Amino acid sequence: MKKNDLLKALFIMVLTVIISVGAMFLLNLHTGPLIEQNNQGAELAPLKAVMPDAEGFEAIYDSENPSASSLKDVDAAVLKIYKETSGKGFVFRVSAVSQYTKGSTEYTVGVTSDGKITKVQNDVYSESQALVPGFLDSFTGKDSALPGVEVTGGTTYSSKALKEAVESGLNALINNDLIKAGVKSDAQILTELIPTVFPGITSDGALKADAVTPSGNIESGYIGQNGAGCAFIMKQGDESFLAVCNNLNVCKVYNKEGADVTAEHTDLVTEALTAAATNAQTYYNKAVTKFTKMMTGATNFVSIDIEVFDTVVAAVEFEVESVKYYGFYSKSFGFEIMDVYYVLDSEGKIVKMTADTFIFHEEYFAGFGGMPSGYTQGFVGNDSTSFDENTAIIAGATMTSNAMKQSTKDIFAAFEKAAVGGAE
Amino acid sequence: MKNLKNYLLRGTPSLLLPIGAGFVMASSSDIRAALGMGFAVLVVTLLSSIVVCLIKKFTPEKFHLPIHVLIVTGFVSLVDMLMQAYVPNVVTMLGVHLAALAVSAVPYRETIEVAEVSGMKKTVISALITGLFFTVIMVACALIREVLGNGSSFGLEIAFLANYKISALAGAFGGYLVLAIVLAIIRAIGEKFVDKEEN
Repeated sequence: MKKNDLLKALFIMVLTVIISVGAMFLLNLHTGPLIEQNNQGAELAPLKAVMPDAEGFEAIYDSENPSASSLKDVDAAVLKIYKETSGKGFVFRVSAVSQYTKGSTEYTVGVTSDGKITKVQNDVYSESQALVPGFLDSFTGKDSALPGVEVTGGTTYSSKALKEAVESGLNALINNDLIKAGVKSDAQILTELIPTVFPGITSDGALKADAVTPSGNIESGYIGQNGAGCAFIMKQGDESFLAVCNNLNVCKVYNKEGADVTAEHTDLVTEALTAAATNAQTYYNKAVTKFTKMMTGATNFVSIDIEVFDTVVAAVEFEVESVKYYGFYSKSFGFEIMDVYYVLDSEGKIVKMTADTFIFHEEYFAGFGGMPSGYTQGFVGNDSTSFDENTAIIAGATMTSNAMKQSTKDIFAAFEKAAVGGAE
Repeated sequence: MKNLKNYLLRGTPSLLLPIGAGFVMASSSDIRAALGMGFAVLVVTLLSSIVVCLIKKFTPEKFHLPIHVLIVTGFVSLVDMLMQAYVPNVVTMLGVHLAALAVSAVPYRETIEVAEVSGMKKTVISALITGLFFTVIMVACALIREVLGNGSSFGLEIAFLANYKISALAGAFGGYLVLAIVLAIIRAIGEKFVDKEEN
C-alpha cells in the first residue's frame, strides 16, 4: 500500500464526513422543527382527541417521575396529567386494571376547568369491546360525582376498573385544588351503598344487577342478576332511602348516612317486599322442584325467613319420612352464575349437594382436567366448622371454585341465622 | 438486453442473496412501507452512485469499500431525516430497517459494480433502473401481503376481505412465501425475455 494512497483515502473520508455532517446540519434546519412537531403530535394526539379545542398541553405530572411534580396525593392508576395551556382544563391518562382479565388498559380523559368530563377515550379496540356498550360515552359532561355512570350489568369488570381509574384521575385534580369536587345526589350515595349492605348481588364489589321499573315510592331500583334479591331507591317526603330485600322475606331500609332505619319505615318495608315478591316466589318454586328431585319423598315444604343478604336465593324446610331437612339454593357469580343446591340436616351438616352446571364452556379452560372424582361427595357430612375451602377447588377453574366456596359459606351462614332466628 | 437482465437482477439482490431476503420481507407487509423503502433505496442508490462516479479517479482501489460506506451512510441519514419530517408513519413502520439500508447490498453493488467502472450516464441509468425495479418488487410483495394478509390497502380496510384474509401472509412466513413466488415469476419472465432477445 502506498503512503500516498492512504493519505488520499483518509482525506476523502474526512471530506465525506465533513460534507455529510454539513448537509445534515443544513437539512436539520428545515426538518428539525417538523420532526419535533411530529413527535409531539404523536404524544398529543390522544390529548387533542379528548379536548379538540385545546391550544396546547403542558405536562404537570408524570408517574415515572412523581417527585418532579408539585401535585400531591395522586393515585398510582394516574399515569400523566396535562394542563391545557390556555386554561380550558386538564387531560389525564390513567391505567385501568380489569379484575377479570388482569390486563391493564390506558385511557385518556379530558376535564374542563369547571370539572366536567369532555370525553373518555381508549385506543385499544379489543378493550373497548369488553366495556358495557355506551359506557365510555356515559362519562361525557359529568362532574367528579359521575352521576349516571353506573356499573350494574353486562361486562362489569372492565367497566368498574375504568370508572375507578377515572375517579382516581379526578381525585388527583380535586386533591390539588385544580377542579372542584362534584356533589353526589342522594340516589347516587344510596346506590353506592348497595355492595356494602347486599353483597350477594355484587361480584368483586361491582353491582351485578338489572334496572327495575319505578313505581309508588320506588324511584329506581335493581334486581340482582343472580336473583338473590332487589335493591330500591325509595323516596318518602324529601328524604331518599335504600331498601334491600332478599328472597327470604326480609327487607332492610337504610338512610343516606348508611344507618339502618328499618324500624322507622315499616311502610317502605311492606312496599319493597311486595315489589320483590314475584322474584322471591320464582326461586322458591325452583327450589321446591329441585329438592323434591334430590330427596325422594320430600314433603311439607315451608319457606324460611332469614336475615342474610348473600347469594342464597331460596331457603326451605321440608320433611322426608318425618325427618326435618333444610334446603338452600344459592346463586353465586362464577365464570357464569352458578345454581347450587344444598340439603342440610337439623345439625347443619350437608346431606346432599349438587349444581345445575359446574363447568361452563369447558373448552375455554386450558388447565381444566375434568371434575375431580367424588367432588360433590366431598361436601357431604361437613358443617360450617368442619368445611375446608379446599373441598370446593376444581383445578383449572378458579372462578368456579371461588363461586363454590362463596355459595357454601353463604348457605352455612344462612343456616346459622335461621337456627338463631328459630327456624326449628 | 443482457444488460437489462443484469439491471433487473442487481435491483433484486434480495432475490439472489439470501442475506437480503429478510430486508425485503420486513419492509413489505404494508404498501406504504414498501413505497417508502423503495423511495429510500432509489434516492440513496442514485446519489451514492453519482458521488462515487464523480470521485472514483481520486479514490485508491483498496479503499473503495470504506469510502462507499461513508457515502452511502451519509445519504441514508439524510433520507431518514427527510422521511421523519414528511412521512413519520412510514418511518415508524420501517423501524430499524431504514437505518439498516446503510449496510444493504443494493447501493453497494451499484457503487462497486457500476459507478466505479462506468461513465456518469450509464451510472445514472443503472441506478435509476435498479432503484425503480427494487421498488416494483417491494410493492408487488406488499400488494399481495397487505391485501390478502391484512385485508387492507394503504392501511384502509377492504370491507369484503375482512372475513377472508390470510393472516399468515402478513407475518414472516408469508413474507418469505410471497418473496419466493415473486422470485419465480420474475425469473421466468426475465429468462424468457432474454432468451427471445438472444435468438
